[in-house]
Amino acid sequence: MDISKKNYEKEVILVSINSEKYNDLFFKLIRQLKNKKVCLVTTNKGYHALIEILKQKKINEKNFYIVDCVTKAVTTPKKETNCTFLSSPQAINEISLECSKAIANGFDFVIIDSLSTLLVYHSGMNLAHLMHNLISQVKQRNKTKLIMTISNKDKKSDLFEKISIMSDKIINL
Amino acid sequence: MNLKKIIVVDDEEDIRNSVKNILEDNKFEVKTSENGKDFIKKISKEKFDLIILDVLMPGLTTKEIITELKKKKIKTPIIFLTVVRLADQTKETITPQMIDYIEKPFDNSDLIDRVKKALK
Repeated sequence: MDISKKNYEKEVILVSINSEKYNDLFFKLIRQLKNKKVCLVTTNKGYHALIEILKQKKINEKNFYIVDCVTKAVTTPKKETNCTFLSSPQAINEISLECSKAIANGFDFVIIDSLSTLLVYHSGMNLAHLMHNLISQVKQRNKTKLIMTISNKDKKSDLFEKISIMSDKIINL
Repeated sequence: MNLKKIIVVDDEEDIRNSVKNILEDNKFEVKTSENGKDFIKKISKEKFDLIILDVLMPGLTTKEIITELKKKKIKTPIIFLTVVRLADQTKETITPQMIDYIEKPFDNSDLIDRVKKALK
């Protein structure tokens, strides 16, 4: 599996993940970010489910700040100190704002999980625009690294093509 | 014999059609909707015995759909069918109408078992 430490020295990493083993591979990926301050934007798992999985997999959940795009679209969540609940995955401005805050606050990593889910709600063009904006901020600040995950099923999409051009490294899992 | 009527709401055509076919093969009458707006329109006009609803779809959110059902006093039981993983404590707060929650990909016979159980 090509997720060596070296890859994490790159600023912008696009990770294409085999859709059949998506969750396993995703958590193997983030396990590598030991002791790093990570802002994780989740579009396919709610905050509580995510924390449960991190605990099960013995990944220190205290290193994570979660931006949950799911739960509030379904129910009214209680406040959590390490989570921001966004209204839904459709709220592209809220996603952009939270990522910008994480970059400005000097998180080591911002992870977008995943572009494939966001593609259900947004055009490739809009997502490419959002990512371009975040990549510019990452490059300017030179502190935070951006990891974007995408299902291997979307490797032929326009979005993949556009984002891969902007990425410093593409990893296939 | 009156067949039990189910409405399947999912933005993914493949899923919608596959669930419809599985249910029809098991002697259920099935209608489909591709989004929340269309679903609300259909359920306002027609009575169903069960709703199978994707948790996250473009357009109306689940929360908005539940609010609409509440406004219209529609208490049809719901099975959520979704790729989204939620903790049990979160699922419990969605709505009292939720009687089951199935994560995709699902097993066909499991789906049928759960639908039959829900309609008992």
